[in-house]
Amino acid sequence: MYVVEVEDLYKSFGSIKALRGLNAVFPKGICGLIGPNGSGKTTFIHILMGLVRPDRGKAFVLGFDCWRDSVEIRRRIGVLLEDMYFPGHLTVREYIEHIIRIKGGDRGDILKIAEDIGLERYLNRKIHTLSAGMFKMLGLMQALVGEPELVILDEPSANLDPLKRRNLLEYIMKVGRERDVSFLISSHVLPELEEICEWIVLIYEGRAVDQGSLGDLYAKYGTNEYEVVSDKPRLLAKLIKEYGVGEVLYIHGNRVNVSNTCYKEFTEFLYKFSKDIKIFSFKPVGGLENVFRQAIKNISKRAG
Amino acid sequence: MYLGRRLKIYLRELANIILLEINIMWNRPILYFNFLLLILLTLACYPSGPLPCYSLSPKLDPWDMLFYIGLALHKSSVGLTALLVVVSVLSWAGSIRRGWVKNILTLPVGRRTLFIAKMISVSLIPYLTFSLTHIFAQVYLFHYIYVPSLLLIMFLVALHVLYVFSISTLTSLLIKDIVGSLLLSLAILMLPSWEELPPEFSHFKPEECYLSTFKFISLYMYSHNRKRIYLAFIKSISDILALLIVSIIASIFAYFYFKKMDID
Repeated sequence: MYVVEVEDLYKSFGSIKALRGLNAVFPKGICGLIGPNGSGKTTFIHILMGLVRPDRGKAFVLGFDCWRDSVEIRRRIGVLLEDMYFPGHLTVREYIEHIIRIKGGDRGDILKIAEDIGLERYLNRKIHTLSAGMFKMLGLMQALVGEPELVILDEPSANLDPLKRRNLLEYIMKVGRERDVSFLISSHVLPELEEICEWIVLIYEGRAVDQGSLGDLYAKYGTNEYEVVSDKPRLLAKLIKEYGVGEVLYIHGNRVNVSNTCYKEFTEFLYKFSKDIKIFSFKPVGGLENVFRQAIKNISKRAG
Repeated sequence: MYLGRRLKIYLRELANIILLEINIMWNRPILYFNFLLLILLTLACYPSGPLPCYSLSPKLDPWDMLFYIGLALHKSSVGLTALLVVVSVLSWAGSIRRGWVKNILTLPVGRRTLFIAKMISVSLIPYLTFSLTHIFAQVYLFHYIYVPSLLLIMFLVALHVLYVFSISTLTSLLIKDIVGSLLLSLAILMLPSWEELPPEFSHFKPEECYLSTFKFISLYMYSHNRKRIYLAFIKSISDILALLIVSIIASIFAYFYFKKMDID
Protein backbone atom coordinates (compact mmCIF):
# COMPACT_ATOMS: atom_id res chain seq x y z
CA MET A 1 0.00 0.00 0.00
CA TYR A 2 1.23 3.48 -0.83
CA VAL A 3 0.96 6.25 1.73
CA VAL A 4 1.09 8.90 -0.98
CA GLU A 5 -0.02 8.46 -4.55
CA VAL A 6 -0.24 11.19 -7.19
CA GLU A 7 -1.27 10.88 -10.78
CA ASP A 8 -0.79 13.36 -13.61
CA LEU A 9 -0.58 16.35 -11.29
CA TYR A 10 -0.49 19.83 -12.81
CA LYS A 11 -0.24 23.16 -11.04
CA SER A 12 0.55 26.63 -12.36
CA PHE A 13 0.91 29.95 -10.59
CA GLY A 14 0.21 32.48 -13.30
CA SER A 15 2.78 31.85 -16.01
CA ILE A 16 4.93 29.66 -13.76
CA LYS A 17 4.33 25.96 -14.24
CA ALA A 18 5.24 24.38 -10.93
CA LEU A 19 4.05 20.82 -11.69
CA ARG A 20 3.73 19.39 -15.18
CA GLY A 21 2.19 15.96 -14.93
CA LEU A 22 3.79 14.56 -11.81
CA ASN A 23 3.31 10.84 -11.28
CA ALA A 24 4.74 9.41 -8.09
CA VAL A 25 4.13 6.90 -5.34
CA PHE A 26 5.56 6.69 -1.84
CA PRO A 27 5.29 3.35 -0.03
CA LYS A 28 5.22 2.88 3.75
CA GLY A 29 8.58 3.56 5.39
CA ILE A 30 11.02 6.43 5.08
CA CYS A 31 10.85 8.03 1.64
CA GLY A 32 12.84 10.87 0.15
CA LEU A 33 11.87 13.53 -2.34
CA ILE A 34 14.79 15.13 -4.13
CA GLY A 35 15.04 17.75 -6.80
CA PRO A 36 16.77 21.06 -7.52
CA ASN A 37 15.39 24.42 -6.38
CA GLY A 38 12.18 25.29 -8.21
CA SER A 39 11.50 21.71 -9.27
CA GLY A 40 8.08 21.72 -7.56
CA LYS A 41 8.82 19.88 -4.30
CA THR A 42 7.21 22.44 -2.00
CA THR A 43 4.18 22.86 -4.29
CA PHE A 44 3.80 19.09 -4.25
CA ILE A 45 3.87 19.06 -0.43
CA HIS A 46 1.38 21.95 -0.29
CA ILE A 47 -0.96 19.98 -2.54
CA LEU A 48 -0.70 16.98 -0.22
CA MET A 49 -1.72 19.24 2.67
CA GLY A 50 -4.70 20.69 0.85
CA LEU A 51 -3.10 24.15 0.98
CA VAL A 52 -2.99 24.38 -2.80
CA ARG A 53 -5.52 22.99 -5.23
CA PRO A 54 -4.07 21.18 -8.27
CA ASP A 55 -5.16 22.38 -11.70
CA ARG A 56 -5.44 18.79 -12.89
CA GLY A 57 -4.69 15.29 -11.69
CA LYS A 58 -5.27 13.21 -8.59
CA ALA A 59 -3.46 13.20 -5.26
CA PHE A 60 -4.11 10.81 -2.40
CA VAL A 61 -2.61 10.60 1.07
CA LEU A 62 -3.39 7.46 3.11
CA GLY A 63 -6.16 6.79 0.60
CA PHE A 64 -7.86 10.20 1.07
CA ASP A 65 -8.28 12.83 -1.62
CA CYS A 66 -5.94 15.71 -0.83
CA TRP A 67 -8.34 18.56 -1.60
CA ARG A 68 -11.69 17.08 -0.63
CA ASP A 69 -10.59 15.23 2.53
CA SER A 70 -7.75 17.51 3.59
CA VAL A 71 -8.92 17.77 7.22
CA GLU A 72 -9.14 13.99 7.50
CA ILE A 73 -5.61 13.72 6.10
CA ARG A 74 -4.26 16.34 8.48
CA ARG A 75 -5.81 14.45 11.38
CA ARG A 76 -3.60 11.49 10.50
CA ILE A 77 -0.36 13.18 9.57
CA GLY A 78 2.21 15.60 10.96
CA VAL A 79 3.88 18.27 8.90
CA LEU A 80 7.01 20.36 9.15
CA LEU A 81 7.07 23.02 6.46
CA GLU A 82 10.17 24.81 5.25
CA ASP A 83 9.13 28.26 6.51
CA MET A 84 6.88 27.93 9.51
CA TYR A 85 5.64 30.81 11.66
CA PHE A 86 5.15 30.39 15.38
CA PRO A 87 3.63 32.94 17.77
CA GLY A 88 6.70 34.38 19.44
CA HIS A 89 5.06 35.60 22.65
CA LEU A 90 3.96 32.10 23.73
CA THR A 91 6.29 29.66 25.45
CA VAL A 92 7.12 26.38 23.72
CA ARG A 93 5.00 24.49 26.24
CA GLU A 94 1.98 26.80 25.89
CA TYR A 95 2.14 26.56 22.12
CA ILE A 96 2.43 22.77 22.05
CA GLU A 97 -0.44 22.49 24.55
CA HIS A 98 -2.60 24.44 22.09
CA ILE A 99 -1.52 22.10 19.30
CA ILE A 100 -2.35 19.03 21.39
CA ARG A 101 -5.80 20.45 22.10
CA ILE A 102 -6.37 20.77 18.36
CA LYS A 103 -4.62 17.63 17.11
CA GLY A 104 -5.47 15.40 20.03
CA GLY A 105 -2.88 13.42 21.91
CA ASP A 106 -1.46 13.05 25.34
CA ARG A 107 0.01 15.99 27.24
CA GLY A 108 2.56 13.61 28.71
CA ASP A 109 3.99 13.34 25.20
CA ILE A 110 5.25 16.92 25.37
CA LEU A 111 8.13 16.11 27.69
CA LYS A 112 8.90 12.80 25.99
CA ILE A 113 9.12 14.25 22.49
CA ALA A 114 10.96 17.32 23.76
CA GLU A 115 13.54 15.08 25.42
CA ASP A 116 13.92 12.98 22.30
CA ILE A 117 14.62 15.94 20.06
CA GLY A 118 16.61 17.94 22.59
CA LEU A 119 14.05 20.66 23.27
CA GLU A 120 13.33 19.88 26.93
CA ARG A 121 15.46 22.79 28.23
CA TYR A 122 13.51 25.22 26.09
CA LEU A 123 9.96 24.23 27.08
CA ASN A 124 9.45 27.29 29.26
CA ARG A 125 11.22 29.69 26.93
CA LYS A 126 9.31 32.20 24.80
CA ILE A 127 9.33 31.09 21.18
CA HIS A 128 10.84 34.37 19.93
CA THR A 129 13.99 33.67 21.94
CA LEU A 130 14.66 30.39 20.10
CA SER A 131 17.35 30.06 17.46
CA ALA A 132 16.55 29.12 13.85
CA GLY A 133 17.58 25.52 14.56
CA MET A 134 15.31 25.36 17.60
CA PHE A 135 12.46 26.69 15.47
CA LYS A 136 12.93 23.66 13.25
CA MET A 137 12.84 21.37 16.24
CA LEU A 138 9.67 23.04 17.47
CA GLY A 139 8.13 22.44 14.04
CA LEU A 140 9.19 18.82 14.26
CA MET A 141 7.65 18.56 17.72
CA GLN A 142 4.38 19.96 16.36
CA ALA A 143 4.50 17.40 13.55
CA LEU A 144 5.05 14.51 15.94
CA VAL A 145 2.35 15.14 18.55
CA GLY A 146 -0.89 13.25 18.18
CA GLU A 147 0.61 9.96 16.96
CA PRO A 148 0.63 10.60 13.19
CA GLU A 149 0.71 7.75 10.68
CA LEU A 150 2.75 9.80 8.24
CA VAL A 151 5.10 12.71 8.84
CA ILE A 152 5.96 15.06 5.99
CA LEU A 153 9.17 17.03 6.47
CA ASP A 154 10.19 19.81 4.10
CA GLU A 155 13.91 20.55 4.47
CA PRO A 156 14.05 19.31 8.07
CA SER A 157 17.78 19.71 8.57
CA ALA A 158 18.08 23.27 7.27
CA ASN A 159 19.57 25.58 9.96
CA LEU A 160 20.62 22.66 12.15
CA ASP A 161 24.18 22.18 13.37
CA PRO A 162 25.91 18.86 12.49
CA LEU A 163 25.20 17.33 15.90
CA LYS A 164 21.50 18.17 15.75
CA ARG A 165 21.32 16.88 12.17
CA ARG A 166 22.72 13.56 13.32
CA ASN A 167 20.27 13.42 16.25
CA LEU A 168 17.42 14.26 13.93
CA LEU A 169 18.29 11.46 11.50
CA GLU A 170 18.63 8.96 14.31
CA TYR A 171 15.34 10.10 15.80
CA ILE A 172 13.53 9.75 12.47
CA MET A 173 14.88 6.22 12.09
CA LYS A 174 13.93 5.38 15.67
CA VAL A 175 10.38 6.71 15.34
CA GLY A 176 9.96 5.06 11.96
CA ARG A 177 11.02 1.71 13.40
CA GLU A 178 9.41 1.77 16.84
CA ARG A 179 6.14 3.55 16.16
CA ASP A 180 5.62 2.35 12.60
CA VAL A 181 5.42 5.91 11.33
CA SER A 182 6.10 6.63 7.66
CA PHE A 183 8.13 9.68 6.65
CA LEU A 184 8.21 11.69 3.46
CA ILE A 185 11.29 13.88 3.55
CA SER A 186 12.11 16.58 1.04
CA SER A 187 15.72 17.67 1.30
CA HIS A 188 18.71 19.01 -0.59
CA VAL A 189 21.14 17.18 1.67
CA LEU A 190 21.36 14.00 -0.33
CA PRO A 191 23.84 12.07 1.84
CA GLU A 192 21.36 12.36 4.71
CA LEU A 193 18.48 11.01 2.68
CA GLU A 194 20.72 8.25 1.44
CA GLU A 195 21.39 7.24 5.00
CA ILE A 196 17.79 6.87 6.11
CA CYS A 197 15.51 6.55 3.07
CA GLU A 198 14.32 3.31 1.59
CA TRP A 199 12.53 4.88 -1.37
CA ILE A 200 13.44 7.92 -3.44
CA VAL A 201 11.48 10.04 -5.89
CA LEU A 202 13.56 12.29 -8.16
CA ILE A 203 11.70 15.36 -9.31
CA TYR A 204 12.82 17.81 -11.97
CA GLU A 205 10.91 20.65 -13.61
CA GLY A 206 7.61 19.50 -12.15
CA ARG A 207 7.87 15.88 -13.24
CA ALA A 208 9.12 12.74 -11.55
CA VAL A 209 12.29 11.79 -13.40
CA ASP A 210 12.55 8.45 -11.69
CA GLN A 211 11.55 6.67 -8.50
CA GLY A 212 12.33 3.47 -6.75
CA SER A 213 14.17 1.82 -3.91
CA LEU A 214 17.68 3.04 -3.26
CA GLY A 215 19.11 -0.24 -4.49
CA ASP A 216 17.24 -0.06 -7.78
CA LEU A 217 18.31 3.52 -8.37
CA TYR A 218 21.93 2.71 -7.58
CA ALA A 219 21.78 -0.21 -9.96
CA LYS A 220 20.24 1.94 -12.67
CA TYR A 221 22.36 5.07 -12.39
CA GLY A 222 25.06 4.46 -9.83
CA THR A 223 28.70 3.93 -10.52
CA ASN A 224 30.00 0.43 -10.28
CA GLU A 225 32.04 1.29 -7.23
CA TYR A 226 30.80 0.91 -3.65
CA GLU A 227 32.31 1.90 -0.34
CA VAL A 228 31.84 -0.23 2.76
CA VAL A 229 32.84 1.02 6.21
CA SER A 230 33.24 -1.79 8.73
CA ASP A 231 35.06 -2.73 11.93
CA LYS A 232 36.99 -5.57 10.18
CA PRO A 233 37.90 -4.31 6.71
CA ARG A 234 40.56 -6.94 6.02
CA LEU A 235 38.32 -9.85 6.91
CA LEU A 236 35.59 -8.31 4.76
CA ALA A 237 37.93 -7.95 1.77
CA LYS A 238 38.95 -11.58 2.17
CA LEU A 239 35.35 -12.78 2.22
CA ILE A 240 34.46 -10.66 -0.84
CA LYS A 241 37.24 -12.33 -2.78
CA GLU A 242 36.28 -15.79 -1.48
CA TYR A 243 32.61 -15.44 -2.38
CA GLY A 244 33.29 -13.62 -5.64
CA VAL A 245 30.66 -10.94 -5.01
CA GLY A 246 32.92 -8.17 -6.31
CA GLU A 247 36.42 -6.97 -6.91
CA VAL A 248 38.22 -5.32 -4.01
CA LEU A 249 39.85 -2.13 -5.32
CA TYR A 250 41.61 -1.01 -2.16
CA ILE A 251 41.39 -0.87 1.63
CA HIS A 252 41.87 2.48 3.38
CA GLY A 253 41.53 2.60 7.15
CA ASN A 254 38.20 0.94 7.91
CA ARG A 255 36.93 1.50 4.35
CA VAL A 256 36.84 -1.15 1.63
CA ASN A 257 36.14 -0.05 -1.94
CA VAL A 258 34.58 -2.71 -4.16
CA SER A 259 33.71 -2.71 -7.86
CA ASN A 260 31.84 -5.00 -10.27
CA THR A 261 29.15 -5.88 -7.82
CA CYS A 262 25.38 -5.94 -7.78
CA TYR A 263 23.80 -3.77 -5.03
CA LYS A 264 21.15 -6.31 -4.06
CA GLU A 265 23.47 -9.28 -4.09
CA PHE A 266 26.08 -7.41 -2.11
CA THR A 267 23.51 -6.28 0.49
CA GLU A 268 22.50 -9.90 1.01
CA PHE A 269 26.14 -10.88 1.33
CA LEU A 270 26.75 -8.21 3.99
CA TYR A 271 23.64 -9.28 5.86
CA LYS A 272 24.88 -12.87 5.87
CA PHE A 273 28.06 -11.87 7.71
CA SER A 274 26.52 -9.20 9.89
CA LYS A 275 27.10 -11.27 13.01
CA ASP A 276 30.85 -11.41 12.46
CA ILE A 277 31.46 -8.05 10.84
CA LYS A 278 29.86 -4.79 11.93
CA ILE A 279 28.93 -2.64 8.92
CA PHE A 280 28.76 1.11 9.60
CA SER A 281 27.82 2.17 6.10
CA PHE A 282 27.46 0.83 2.58
CA LYS A 283 26.87 3.13 -0.35
CA PRO A 284 28.03 3.68 -3.91
CA VAL A 285 30.89 6.11 -4.46
CA GLY A 286 29.25 9.35 -5.49
CA GLY A 287 26.05 8.04 -3.93
CA LEU A 288 22.67 9.62 -4.45
CA GLU A 289 24.28 12.76 -5.84
CA ASN A 290 25.62 10.71 -8.70
CA VAL A 291 22.24 9.06 -9.23
CA PHE A 292 20.61 12.46 -9.32
CA ARG A 293 23.18 13.90 -11.77
CA GLN A 294 22.85 10.91 -14.08
CA ALA A 295 19.06 11.01 -14.04
CA ILE A 296 19.00 14.73 -14.89
CA LYS A 297 21.60 14.17 -17.62
CA ASN A 298 19.45 11.42 -19.16
CA ILE A 299 16.40 13.66 -19.15
CA SER A 300 18.32 16.57 -20.68
CA LYS A 301 19.71 14.27 -23.37
CA ARG A 302 16.22 13.00 -24.22
CA ALA A 303 14.84 16.55 -24.28
CA GLY A 304 17.81 17.89 -26.28
CA MET B 1 -27.92 11.80 19.13
CA TYR B 2 -25.29 11.36 16.42
CA LEU B 3 -25.79 14.91 15.16
CA GLY B 4 -25.64 16.25 18.69
CA ARG B 5 -22.35 14.48 19.35
CA ARG B 6 -20.88 15.73 16.08
CA LEU B 7 -21.98 19.26 16.88
CA LYS B 8 -20.40 18.98 20.30
CA ILE B 9 -17.11 17.80 18.80
CA TYR B 10 -17.23 20.57 16.21
CA LEU B 11 -17.90 23.23 18.83
CA ARG B 12 -15.02 21.94 20.93
CA GLU B 13 -12.72 22.10 17.91
CA LEU B 14 -13.94 25.60 17.13
CA ALA B 15 -13.39 26.71 20.73
CA ASN B 16 -9.81 25.39 20.63
CA ILE B 17 -9.02 27.32 17.45
CA ILE B 18 -10.67 30.48 18.83
CA LEU B 19 -8.59 30.16 21.99
CA LEU B 20 -5.38 29.82 19.97
CA GLU B 21 -6.31 32.69 17.67
CA ILE B 22 -7.18 34.96 20.60
CA ASN B 23 -3.89 34.03 22.25
CA ILE B 24 -1.99 34.91 19.10
CA MET B 25 -3.90 37.99 18.00
CA TRP B 26 -4.59 39.63 21.33
CA ASN B 27 -1.15 39.74 22.84
CA ARG B 28 -0.75 42.23 25.66
CA PRO B 29 0.11 45.47 23.80
CA ILE B 30 -2.84 45.13 21.40
CA LEU B 31 -5.19 44.11 24.21
CA TYR B 32 -4.23 47.09 26.37
CA PHE B 33 -4.51 49.40 23.39
CA ASN B 34 -8.02 48.03 22.73
CA PHE B 35 -9.10 48.72 26.32
CA LEU B 36 -7.48 52.12 26.42
CA LEU B 37 -8.89 53.32 23.13
CA LEU B 38 -12.44 52.04 23.42
CA ILE B 39 -13.02 52.77 27.11
CA LEU B 40 -11.52 56.26 27.08
CA LEU B 41 -13.20 57.18 23.84
CA THR B 42 -16.58 55.96 25.04
CA LEU B 43 -16.38 57.73 28.37
CA ALA B 44 -15.22 60.91 26.67
CA CYS B 45 -18.25 60.93 24.42
CA TYR B 46 -20.90 60.94 27.14
CA PRO B 47 -22.09 64.26 28.47
CA SER B 48 -21.10 64.96 32.07
CA GLY B 49 -19.22 61.69 32.16
CA PRO B 50 -15.92 60.95 33.90
CA LEU B 51 -14.08 62.26 30.85
CA PRO B 52 -16.46 64.86 29.54
CA CYS B 53 -16.08 66.57 26.20
CA TYR B 54 -19.01 68.67 27.18
CA SER B 55 -21.30 68.86 30.20
CA LEU B 56 -25.03 69.21 30.51
CA SER B 57 -27.48 69.86 33.24
CA PRO B 58 -27.40 67.04 35.78
CA LYS B 59 -31.09 66.27 35.21
CA LEU B 60 -31.81 64.69 31.85
CA ASP B 61 -35.21 63.52 30.69
CA PRO B 62 -35.49 60.09 28.94
CA TRP B 63 -35.69 61.65 25.50
CA ASP B 64 -32.38 63.41 26.07
CA MET B 65 -30.92 60.24 27.51
CA LEU B 66 -31.68 58.14 24.42
CA PHE B 67 -30.50 60.92 22.16
CA TYR B 68 -27.20 61.22 24.01
CA ILE B 69 -26.64 57.47 24.00
CA GLY B 70 -27.03 57.48 20.21
CA LEU B 71 -24.76 60.49 19.93
CA ALA B 72 -22.09 58.94 22.15
CA LEU B 73 -22.20 55.69 20.17
CA HIS B 74 -22.00 57.67 16.96
CA LYS B 75 -18.95 59.64 18.07
CA SER B 76 -17.01 56.86 19.73
CA SER B 77 -17.63 54.29 16.98
CA VAL B 78 -14.77 55.75 14.91
CA GLY B 79 -12.38 54.18 17.40
CA LEU B 80 -14.08 50.80 17.07
CA THR B 81 -13.92 50.98 13.27
CA ALA B 82 -10.23 51.89 13.27
CA LEU B 83 -9.32 49.19 15.79
CA LEU B 84 -11.30 46.50 13.99
CA VAL B 85 -9.76 47.34 10.62
CA VAL B 86 -6.26 47.05 12.06
CA VAL B 87 -6.96 43.80 13.92
CA SER B 88 -8.83 42.18 11.00
CA VAL B 89 -6.12 43.08 8.52
CA LEU B 90 -3.40 41.79 10.85
CA SER B 91 -5.40 38.63 11.47
CA TRP B 92 -5.83 37.89 7.75
CA ALA B 93 -3.24 39.63 5.58
CA GLY B 94 -0.67 39.56 8.39
CA SER B 95 -1.22 35.86 9.11
CA ILE B 96 -1.09 34.92 5.44
CA ARG B 97 2.11 36.96 4.94
CA ARG B 98 3.84 35.54 8.00
CA GLY B 99 2.79 31.97 7.21
CA TRP B 100 0.56 31.45 10.24
CA VAL B 101 -2.47 30.50 8.13
CA LYS B 102 -0.30 27.94 6.36
CA ASN B 103 0.88 26.58 9.68
CA ILE B 104 -2.60 26.28 11.17
CA LEU B 105 -3.85 24.58 7.99
CA THR B 106 -1.31 21.80 8.51
CA LEU B 107 -3.37 20.91 11.60
CA PRO B 108 -6.75 19.18 11.40
CA VAL B 109 -8.58 22.48 10.98
CA GLY B 110 -11.01 23.07 8.13
CA ARG B 111 -11.08 26.39 6.32
CA ARG B 112 -14.67 27.00 7.43
CA THR B 113 -13.70 26.48 11.06
CA LEU B 114 -10.71 28.78 10.69
CA PHE B 115 -12.85 31.48 9.05
CA ILE B 116 -15.44 31.37 11.83
CA ALA B 117 -12.73 31.22 14.50
CA LYS B 118 -11.00 34.27 13.07
CA MET B 119 -14.28 36.14 12.85
CA ILE B 120 -15.03 35.47 16.52
CA SER B 121 -11.50 35.96 17.80
CA VAL B 122 -11.10 39.29 16.00
CA SER B 123 -14.52 40.67 16.94
CA LEU B 124 -15.26 39.33 20.39
CA ILE B 125 -12.93 41.47 22.51
CA PRO B 126 -13.62 44.85 20.83
CA TYR B 127 -17.34 44.01 20.74
CA LEU B 128 -17.51 43.25 24.44
CA THR B 129 -15.27 46.16 25.42
CA PHE B 130 -17.23 48.68 23.37
CA SER B 131 -20.75 47.54 24.14
CA LEU B 132 -20.12 46.89 27.83
CA THR B 133 -18.46 50.28 28.27
CA HIS B 134 -21.49 51.96 26.74
CA ILE B 135 -23.82 49.98 28.94
CA PHE B 136 -21.73 50.85 31.98
CA ALA B 137 -21.65 54.50 30.98
CA GLN B 138 -25.43 54.59 30.71
CA VAL B 139 -25.97 53.04 34.10
CA TYR B 140 -23.28 55.17 35.71
CA LEU B 141 -24.37 58.45 34.21
CA PHE B 142 -28.12 58.16 34.03
CA HIS B 143 -28.64 55.84 37.05
CA TYR B 144 -31.23 54.05 34.96
CA ILE B 145 -31.31 50.73 33.11
CA TYR B 146 -33.50 50.77 30.07
CA VAL B 147 -33.36 47.17 28.77
CA PRO B 148 -34.45 47.80 25.14
CA SER B 149 -31.69 50.37 24.83
CA LEU B 150 -29.13 47.85 26.12
CA LEU B 151 -30.32 45.21 23.66
CA LEU B 152 -30.24 47.75 20.89
CA ILE B 153 -26.65 48.65 21.74
CA MET B 154 -25.67 44.96 21.66
CA PHE B 155 -27.36 44.52 18.28
CA LEU B 156 -26.03 47.68 16.64
CA VAL B 157 -22.47 47.13 17.83
CA ALA B 158 -22.66 43.53 16.53
CA LEU B 159 -23.80 44.85 13.16
CA HIS B 160 -21.04 47.45 13.11
CA VAL B 161 -18.42 44.83 14.01
CA LEU B 162 -19.70 42.43 11.32
CA TYR B 163 -19.68 45.20 8.70
CA VAL B 164 -16.11 46.30 9.39
CA PHE B 165 -14.86 42.72 9.77
CA SER B 166 -16.39 41.54 6.49
CA ILE B 167 -14.98 44.46 4.47
CA SER B 168 -11.51 44.25 6.04
CA THR B 169 -11.44 40.47 5.62
CA LEU B 170 -12.43 40.64 1.99
CA THR B 171 -9.80 43.26 1.14
CA SER B 172 -7.15 41.38 3.13
CA LEU B 173 -7.86 38.13 1.31
CA LEU B 174 -7.87 39.80 -2.09
CA ILE B 175 -4.75 41.92 -1.57
CA LYS B 176 -2.82 39.79 0.97
CA ASP B 177 -0.71 42.79 1.89
CA ILE B 178 -0.98 44.56 5.25
CA VAL B 179 -0.53 48.18 4.15
CA GLY B 180 -2.57 47.77 0.97
CA SER B 181 -5.42 46.08 2.83
CA LEU B 182 -5.40 48.73 5.56
CA LEU B 183 -5.58 51.57 3.07
CA LEU B 184 -8.25 49.95 0.92
CA SER B 185 -10.42 48.92 3.90
CA LEU B 186 -10.24 52.43 5.36
CA ALA B 187 -10.97 53.96 1.95
CA ILE B 188 -14.08 51.77 1.52
CA LEU B 189 -15.29 52.52 5.04
CA MET B 190 -14.57 56.26 4.79
CA LEU B 191 -15.95 56.70 1.28
CA PRO B 192 -19.60 57.19 2.36
CA SER B 193 -18.46 60.15 4.49
CA TRP B 194 -17.28 62.04 1.41
CA GLU B 195 -19.52 65.06 1.07
CA GLU B 196 -19.52 65.06 -2.74
CA LEU B 197 -21.40 61.77 -2.81
CA PRO B 198 -25.21 61.58 -2.94
CA PRO B 199 -26.91 61.40 0.49
CA GLU B 200 -27.95 57.75 -0.12
CA PHE B 201 -24.34 56.75 0.56
CA SER B 202 -24.75 57.77 4.19
CA HIS B 203 -26.61 54.47 4.74
CA PHE B 204 -23.23 52.76 4.49
CA LYS B 205 -21.78 54.68 7.43
CA PRO B 206 -21.94 52.38 10.48
CA GLU B 207 -21.84 55.35 12.88
CA GLU B 208 -24.96 56.77 11.21
CA CYS B 209 -26.89 53.67 12.19
CA TYR B 210 -26.53 54.38 15.93
CA LEU B 211 -27.80 57.91 15.59
CA SER B 212 -30.75 57.11 13.34
CA THR B 213 -31.89 54.11 15.39
CA PHE B 214 -31.76 55.88 18.75
CA LYS B 215 -33.44 58.91 17.21
CA PHE B 216 -36.27 56.70 15.98
CA ILE B 217 -36.65 55.01 19.37
CA SER B 218 -36.80 58.29 21.24
CA LEU B 219 -39.32 59.75 18.77
CA TYR B 220 -41.41 56.60 18.89
CA MET B 221 -41.59 56.78 22.66
CA TYR B 222 -41.96 60.48 23.27
CA SER B 223 -43.21 62.19 20.10
CA HIS B 224 -46.73 62.47 18.68
CA ASN B 225 -45.67 63.58 15.23
CA ARG B 226 -46.44 60.48 13.16
CA LYS B 227 -44.70 61.74 10.05
CA ARG B 228 -41.47 62.36 11.91
CA ILE B 229 -41.68 58.90 13.50
CA TYR B 230 -42.29 57.30 10.10
CA LEU B 231 -39.37 59.11 8.46
CA ALA B 232 -37.06 58.21 11.35
CA PHE B 233 -38.17 54.59 11.09
CA ILE B 234 -37.42 54.47 7.34
CA LYS B 235 -33.99 56.02 7.88
CA SER B 236 -33.17 53.66 10.71
CA ILE B 237 -34.31 50.53 8.85
CA SER B 238 -32.47 51.60 5.68
CA ASP B 239 -29.27 52.13 7.65
CA ILE B 240 -29.56 48.74 9.35
CA LEU B 241 -30.45 46.89 6.14
CA ALA B 242 -27.69 48.55 4.12
CA LEU B 243 -25.07 47.47 6.65
CA LEU B 244 -26.57 44.02 7.03
CA ILE B 245 -26.76 43.31 3.29
CA VAL B 246 -23.22 44.57 2.60
CA SER B 247 -21.90 42.57 5.57
CA ILE B 248 -23.60 39.35 4.44
CA ILE B 249 -22.50 39.70 0.81
CA ALA B 250 -18.92 40.61 1.74
CA SER B 251 -18.72 37.78 4.31
CA ILE B 252 -20.06 35.16 1.90
CA PHE B 253 -17.74 36.31 -0.86
CA ALA B 254 -14.74 36.37 1.51
CA TYR B 255 -15.61 32.90 2.85
CA PHE B 256 -15.89 31.27 -0.57
CA TYR B 257 -12.76 33.03 -1.79
CA PHE B 258 -10.87 31.75 1.26
CA LYS B 259 -12.26 28.24 0.75
CA LYS B 260 -10.82 28.07 -2.77
CA MET B 261 -7.66 30.14 -2.48
CA ASP B 262 -4.15 28.72 -2.61
CA ILE B 263 -2.21 29.23 0.61
CA ASP B 264 1.29 29.22 -0.78
